[in-house]
Amino acid sequence: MNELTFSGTSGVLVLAAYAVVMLAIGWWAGRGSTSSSARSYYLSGGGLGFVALFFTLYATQYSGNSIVGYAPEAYRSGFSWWQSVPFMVAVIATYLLFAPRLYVVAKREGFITPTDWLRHRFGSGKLTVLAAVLMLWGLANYLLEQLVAMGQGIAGLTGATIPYEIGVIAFVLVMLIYSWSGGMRAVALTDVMQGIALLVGVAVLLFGALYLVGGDVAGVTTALADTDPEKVAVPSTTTSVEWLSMIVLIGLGASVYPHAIQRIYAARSERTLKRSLAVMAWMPLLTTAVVFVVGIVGTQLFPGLSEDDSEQLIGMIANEVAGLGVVFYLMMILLFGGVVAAIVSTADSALLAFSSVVSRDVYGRYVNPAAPEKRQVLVGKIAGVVAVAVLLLIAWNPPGTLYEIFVLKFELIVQLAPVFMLGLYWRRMAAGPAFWGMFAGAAIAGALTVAGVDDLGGVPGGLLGLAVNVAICVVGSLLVGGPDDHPSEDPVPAAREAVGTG
Amino acid sequence: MDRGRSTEPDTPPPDRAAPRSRPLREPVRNPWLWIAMAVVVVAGVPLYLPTGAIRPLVGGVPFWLLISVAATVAFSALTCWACLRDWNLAEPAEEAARERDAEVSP
Repeated sequence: MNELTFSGTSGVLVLAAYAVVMLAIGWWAGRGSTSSSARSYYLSGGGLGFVALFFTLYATQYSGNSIVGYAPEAYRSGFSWWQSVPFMVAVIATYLLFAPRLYVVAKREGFITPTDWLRHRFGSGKLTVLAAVLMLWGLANYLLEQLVAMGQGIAGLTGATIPYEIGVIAFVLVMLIYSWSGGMRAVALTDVMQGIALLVGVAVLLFGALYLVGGDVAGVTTALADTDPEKVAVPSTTTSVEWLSMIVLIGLGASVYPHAIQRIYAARSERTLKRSLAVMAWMPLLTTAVVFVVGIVGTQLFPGLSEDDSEQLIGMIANEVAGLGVVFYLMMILLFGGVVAAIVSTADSALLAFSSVVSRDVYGRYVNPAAPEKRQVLVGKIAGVVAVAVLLLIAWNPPGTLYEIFVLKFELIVQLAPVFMLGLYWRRMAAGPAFWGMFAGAAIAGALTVAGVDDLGGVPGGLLGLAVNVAICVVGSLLVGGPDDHPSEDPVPAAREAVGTG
Repeated sequence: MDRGRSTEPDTPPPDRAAPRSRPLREPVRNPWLWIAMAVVVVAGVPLYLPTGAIRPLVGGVPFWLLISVAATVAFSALTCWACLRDWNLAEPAEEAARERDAEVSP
């Protein structure tokens, strides 16, 4: 995207307009709010309605990488990259394993961070500390990835009129200002704008790509079958195992990201939450499926690109489309605005979740438990700013060694899945085995990544770690836990009582 | 969105009266849902097809990709259905509380 030449001043104007709108929404969201209350700041008081909740789920789940990274994947892998569609559906399906019950417990107990559930269920021991560390590590790396993508996106959109560093700092400042002033409410409302921008961007990208091949997708796939049959054929068993593994890994990992869990807490009602998720179940077909088609079309528009060159695929297609006329040019400006909006909307959610864990689970729990809520929130805000500053330094000066630990995200976060998905239902599950399972899972996943072993026979290291994690949790709890060690979290009897049907 | 319910008639048709009259449901308790989920997920991964197969092409698209696409659409549909129809825990109490609030402050 750094080679994108079609834009310039108009790109700068679009980005400036985006920044102004985001700041205005942030100011409006923060106006008159009681941001000194943690629940108000981090969860918008638990009052997000359907539109805000749906778009914040959407804009957070789909980052800029879902467009600029996934299209080149489709270009290189061919039809096996269709997996990007079911693995995004799997995130929503996995929510169904724990969100219904967690929502009820969270509303009853007034949870703010994901760690609140662990403390409620397993007590304030080393398990909650380990979980908080994994969350902070995963969130920081996720944020780092967004900051890198943000710079490339902005430099691409403006044809490097805005240099990489200046672009990142400008948008990071905008993000920090609206997040600081309005918290979750500002993040969710800017996500409405950003989610719409992303949808429009994906739509114009599809239109542009189809226009370039005269709408003949069948012709593209038939030609691809002749020139690159391996991209069209049934993939190897290893690739298929990887495909299935990605559905499991991303489904389990993305649904227990701290910002994903906080959106369960932030829903105004169960009705709002389930309707938002019901629509979200279809969004992969409107987003990653479209990007998949664009990547496949790219194989005929720009055949024979090297791996590095293929990373610029979206920029190349945008250049071609922009050259067709003024309307197309404007559409491609919208596309890149959508990409930048998608990155910012993912970054702000990760940043807010990061701040909340530092504020509530580190500072408010271990550093200064007597601190009033207002001070805790302030510390969380400052921690967010410091984290972004440190991450920017890492983004611009990547460490020569152990760089792999900065890409660990899903592999670590997915190790949190058992304490939610088993802990909510299995009363025998004990804190000790849960800790050692999580620790072993994270250590295995981390060690394999650092050793440069991405997968074993198509099964990613994170999933192998998770298997060990679950085994230790289950066997250990059977050995040391009692059947009634923990009170039941079954919400059905209480719900029956509440509506007088019991 | 949620507020729209306050304009509903006193005796809504059965499907619209849903949350309060429908039994309490939690998706995790429905084994058939998860069996169906597993079937559509596995059906969408071409593990069971011979590596390297391309033809027949249907509209220029290899048959196996069409199977995957159909399985993904079924996966989305099933997930959507489960959210709307197989999940009913807090809604009856929340709706009842909201109606009580509406009566107190019309």
